[in-house]
Parts: sequence; C-alpha cells; structure tokens
Amino acid sequence: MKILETRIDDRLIHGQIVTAWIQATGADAIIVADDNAAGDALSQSILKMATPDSVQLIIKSLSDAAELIKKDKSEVGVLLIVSNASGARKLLESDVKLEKITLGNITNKKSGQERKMVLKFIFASEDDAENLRAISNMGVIITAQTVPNDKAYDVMEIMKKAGFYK
Amino acid sequence: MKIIIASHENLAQNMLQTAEIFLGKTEDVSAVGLYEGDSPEDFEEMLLKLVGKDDEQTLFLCDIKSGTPFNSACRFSHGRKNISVLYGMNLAMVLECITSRSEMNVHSLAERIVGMMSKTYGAFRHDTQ
Repeated sequence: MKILETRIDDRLIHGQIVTAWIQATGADAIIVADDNAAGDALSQSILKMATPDSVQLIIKSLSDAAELIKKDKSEVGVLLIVSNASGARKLLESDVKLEKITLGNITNKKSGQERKMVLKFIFASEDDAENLRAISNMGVIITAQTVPNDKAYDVMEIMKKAGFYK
Repeated sequence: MKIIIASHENLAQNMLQTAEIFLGKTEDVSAVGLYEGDSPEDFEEMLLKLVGKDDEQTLFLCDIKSGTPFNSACRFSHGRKNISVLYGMNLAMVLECITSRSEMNVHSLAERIVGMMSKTYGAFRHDTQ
C-alpha cells in the first residue's frame, strides 16, 4: 500500500475527513491505527458508518497496523489516521516509513492532562509535545492543518510559540 | 418527545431560532453545537445532560452524516431504546419533526421523516428554454 496521507486526529473519521481529505488524497482505503478502536465493537460500528461506501475501512491496533503497512506491497492508496502523537510515534518506532504527518484535531478534553491551546483545533499536553518533538527528530515533517484548503502550520514552530520546549 | 438539534458550530442554534419564526416558542427542543477544539467526549456529556431520563423518547437531528455531532449521537444512542438519530437536517425536516412528534413514537417519526425528505429539496427550472 501507498500511504498518501498520515493524520493525527482524535475525532478519527469525521466530517473533515469525509468531505475533504478523502477527495484531496484520492485514497482507496482508510486505516485507523488505534488500540482503543481496535478493541471496541461500538467504535468500530460508528467508524464504519462514517466511512463512505467507496472507501475501504481497516481498523487495526498500532502494532497490527505497522505489520500490515510494512508487509503489503500493493498500490492501494491509504489515508492513515491515528488518534494522537503517541500513536504516530509508535508506528515510526515500529519502522513504518512516513515522510510527513499532518496534525489535525487534538481536542480540549476537560478531564485528563492539562492542555495548552496551540491553535483553535489543537490543545496539546506535555506528553503530546514530547511525542511531537520525538517525531520531528526522526526527520518527519509535521504540519498542522484542518482541511486541505486551509493554511498548513509548521508544528514545531507553533508549539514553541505556545510555550512548549523552553 | 424531546428533540435535540446537533451540529457543527452555530448551525443548530440558528436552525432552532429560524424554526421558531415559523412555530413560535417551542418546548422540549434544544440545540447544541460542537465547536472547533471541543472533544467528542465532552460533547457526549452535553448530550447526556440534554436527554435527561432514560425512558424519555428523544430524537436527534444532526447536520451531516459522518460528522462528529452525528457520530457522537450514534455512540450515545447505543443501548438506549427510545432514541432515534437522523442526519442531513434541513429546515423542512426540523419543522415537520417538531409539529408531528405528538402523533407517534420516535422511531415511527424517524421513518416518516426519511420517507418525506426527498420532497424537501430539488432544483427549480423555468418552463421556457
């Protein structure tokens, strides 16, 4: 398979993916690489419902997704989605080759870790910051973008502006 | 029956406000928006507050299939027998739901609305060429 686009987005498959990213990338398939979704029947049925009929949906745990991506030599174009930076980092550390990653939504969960607003659609925790830096240090280009027609921001730059990496 | 209009951004609130131009003040109809940066989990918690008691009939009207408000409403409705979720709302749909909800249960209403939806949109053409 050919990874056409890798996206970090905690809403997984949703309006922006279906109306904009599938068309812009011309993807034949979506891989959701997420341990929670892979182990939860309800999440899977909702992801399936959210996916257009014309696109194949594959839901795998991070480790199974990494194996599949490395093994499959087909020409199938893939939109790869993980729910957080930690997931993207794990794929890279499992030797999945990704040149660039788009950071979509990291939403502002009221419970859990303290988060800082980086952009209107990105609320990063210290863990996110650390994982994003590790990804960047592996030579992967990370930009933040909601939809293909919107501005793409350099993630390391906006993270620094938001007060991370002091 | 409760009706909850759920959308991205302000569409739901504005839809309700517009519906009330036709219907006057409505009861048991609420509007909820998911804004940029809001998490799906917090959105579902908001839905929980709006739905109230478990046994109450509730109809969700969502803006678009696959959107997070719709996905959240579907997730939320799992295991709740008295909830139905519609997507692709327009003004005609909202008006019809509010006015005919007293006549039937939530699932019959959802079925009826889906049956009439194709009559609520179309393209106008002049007779002359």
